[in-house]
Amino acid sequence: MALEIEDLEMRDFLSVCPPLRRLNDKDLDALTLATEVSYARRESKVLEPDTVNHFYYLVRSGAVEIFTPDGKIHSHVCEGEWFGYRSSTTGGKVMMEIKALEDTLLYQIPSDVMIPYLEKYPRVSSFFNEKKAIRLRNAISEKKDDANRFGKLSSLSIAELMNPAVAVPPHMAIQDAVKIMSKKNSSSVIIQQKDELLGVVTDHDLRDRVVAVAKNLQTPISDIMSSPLMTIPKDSRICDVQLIMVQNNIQELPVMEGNDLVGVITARDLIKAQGQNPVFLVADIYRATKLSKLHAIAANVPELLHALVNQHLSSEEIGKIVSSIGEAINVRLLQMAEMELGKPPVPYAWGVAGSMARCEQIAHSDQDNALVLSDDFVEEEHGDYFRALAKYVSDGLHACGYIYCPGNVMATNPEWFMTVSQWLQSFRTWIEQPEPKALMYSSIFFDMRMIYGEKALFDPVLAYVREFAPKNSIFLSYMMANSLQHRPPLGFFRNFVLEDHGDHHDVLNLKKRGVIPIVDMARVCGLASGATVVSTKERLKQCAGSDCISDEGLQDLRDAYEVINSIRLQYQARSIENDEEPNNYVSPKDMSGLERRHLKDAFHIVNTFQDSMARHYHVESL
Amino acid sequence: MNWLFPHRSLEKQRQALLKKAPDFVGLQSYLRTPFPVLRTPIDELSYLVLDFETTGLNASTEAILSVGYTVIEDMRVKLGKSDHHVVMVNREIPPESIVIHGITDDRMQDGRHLHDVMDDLFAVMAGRILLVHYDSVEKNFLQAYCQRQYGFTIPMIMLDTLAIEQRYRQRHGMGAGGNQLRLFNLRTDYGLPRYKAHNAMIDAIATAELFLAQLTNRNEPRLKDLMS
Repeated sequence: MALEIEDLEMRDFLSVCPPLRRLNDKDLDALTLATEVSYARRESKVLEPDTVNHFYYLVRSGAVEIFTPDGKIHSHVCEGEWFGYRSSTTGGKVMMEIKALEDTLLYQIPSDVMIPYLEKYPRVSSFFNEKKAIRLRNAISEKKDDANRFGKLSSLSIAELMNPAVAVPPHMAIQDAVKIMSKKNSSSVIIQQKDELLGVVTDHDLRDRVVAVAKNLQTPISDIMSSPLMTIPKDSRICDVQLIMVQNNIQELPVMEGNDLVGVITARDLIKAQGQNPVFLVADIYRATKLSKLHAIAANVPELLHALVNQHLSSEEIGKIVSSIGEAINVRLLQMAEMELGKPPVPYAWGVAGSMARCEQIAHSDQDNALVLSDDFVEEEHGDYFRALAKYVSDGLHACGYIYCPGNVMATNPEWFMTVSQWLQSFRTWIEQPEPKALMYSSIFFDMRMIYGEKALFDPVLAYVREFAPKNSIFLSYMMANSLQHRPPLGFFRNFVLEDHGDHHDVLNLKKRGVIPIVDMARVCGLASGATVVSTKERLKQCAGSDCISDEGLQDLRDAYEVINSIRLQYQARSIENDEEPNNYVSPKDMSGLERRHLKDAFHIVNTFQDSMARHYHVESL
Repeated sequence: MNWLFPHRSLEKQRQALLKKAPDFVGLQSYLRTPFPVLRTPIDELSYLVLDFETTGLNASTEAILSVGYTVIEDMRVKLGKSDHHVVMVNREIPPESIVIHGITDDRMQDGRHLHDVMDDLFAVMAGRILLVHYDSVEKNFLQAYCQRQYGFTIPMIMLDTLAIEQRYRQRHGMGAGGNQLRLFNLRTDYGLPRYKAHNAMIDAIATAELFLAQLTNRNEPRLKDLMS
């Protein structure tokens, strides 16, 4: 009886180590047989710079420590993790010193054995890719593949879900149009003149605008249509359909192929495909008339988040959807406040800050909001109205789970209850006199986005920021210095978070140490390029072509952001599944090897950026 | 063996037996290959790490049930050169030993004839240092087989990880109870992982890893330093 490879525990070990679990049985057997086992005593050198290495090393037990050429700790590698692949794929020259941190048993796979598998398995190859950024990009595209395979939303095309469109000319009588609708069993009709789409009439419109008001059925259908009409190209993704519906509170979208109307897709069609649906949540929010109803709807947000994560949507898409729900609740509260308090005596706009403003909210968080009042505002005459409005909305948000802001950044705070001129003055002070407190406010209010009311009131402030922020290099340097306060950790070691001085912690705040550093850098880059968009990914996009980051660097940072956030979302979804309050903490002991590795790569990219930003903005000289 | 000139004595014995035993195919290949010089640095040698599972401890009455081995070259255990053979034995396996090695009667019926297994083993032993943990089993069963089959015992260089550990501990005034020197306890002392399975090949690999760990923790650069 010859060697029974499947009996080898060494094979079992290799078979669970990323990326080898991708290998088929035959290839795994061959790799096991090529494996050589060595032992390194604690503190002994495993690889030395300027020597030659032709092995991929896998730590079987124990741990090694990698040093940068200037003698700093680069990382720790422990059981189930690899090293030496960089030198073995790039001609063999070792660049960094590697020492055993403990007595360590190592599996060595000769590179000439490994390389054919890299060619055969792209995922194995990407795992060992020398460039962390490329590894992350591959991880993201793998997630998209998974979404295509498992996520119902992403796997279906619009063409599969849409229904034939029913179109009628604008002058047709309501009664005739409804006859056609009912014959075709359609819940909506599109009003079309020649090639031009004018508007849409839905079952709801017939109820509210015809039956309820006893309208003459001979009236032209165009009288009751909603217009203008949003449409969507046929080759869009289903999740884009969902996003447009959520953001605009609509339930029907005409589908276009070029200039031709080819069908209609409805929120009901999406439901058939996925079950949980945020479109209906938004519709329910706008129909709610009582706070208790809003409260009940808001209670669905965690469940929705869980469903979205399981559909493998990107964190950007999830952030937009969850933020839209929060925004809808906020807007509905404002509408309810106006219903209760009467029409506003002078124009105003309601702004939100923080993650909701950036469309990056992923779970319930605290509320950050502010009031922008027309310059016609007179305290004695109008103060009480707006204070009551702010209190109504803020209390309502709190009741719906968007708790009072611990830093008191709320419209109920007289400080953030200002006329346009006052806001302009505040922004001017923040930009021209960047003190610590001013910087704190800057990072909050430079994200502010108007969501309700006379949104244009805020335009002069935005115009000022667009013009003066890029010119004020001292302000930008201070902002950058401020944003470098939170740095990501070096990586992980066993069940600990490894810090750059060798300290260990057992939990990691992914938001504070991973997300916020990128958000903060993106804000400064955005301001420097004169952009007033507030989402992190958009800000980074806006910096393309500027001199502070290369386009490739921007892409890397966007990928790092996506990876950190998607892991954060995975953990939040898991908490929700276990009926726990989702938070931003993860413990390395709960993480898979792949998650650790992706996070480590992402942190490395963020760290590198922080260093280069510090140089670019001369942070040292402040 | 001549202890002043052990290598010379081994070589003399080998050459004498080579003339005496021209028809034994497997043994021939072993005897044709000279022994390594004892001054050779330990990291330049090739080792055959060996483990037998047997029906009992007495080599003259009990039988070899399975043979497992692996090879160390360049101070690395070569998994691809490992092998495992179950032997077909014409007797019932005592139930108490099945618990240890997991070789049942059924499994044994699929095994190979002892002579074939031994012939293959002699071929891979050629030119290599033998390495075992607790040499009284493998050494005695090997020699008992040769005595029975060929009418003589054979020269060999066999190292014993248990003896290496024992000597080291004695020299450093460390006590070592019997249990402490068992393969799996020693592995724990050296920070080596625990293996779940227990068969001759896994044990041979486990012994090989222990040997590497012992060497990196010692200052014994030559083969003769490791020999009893």
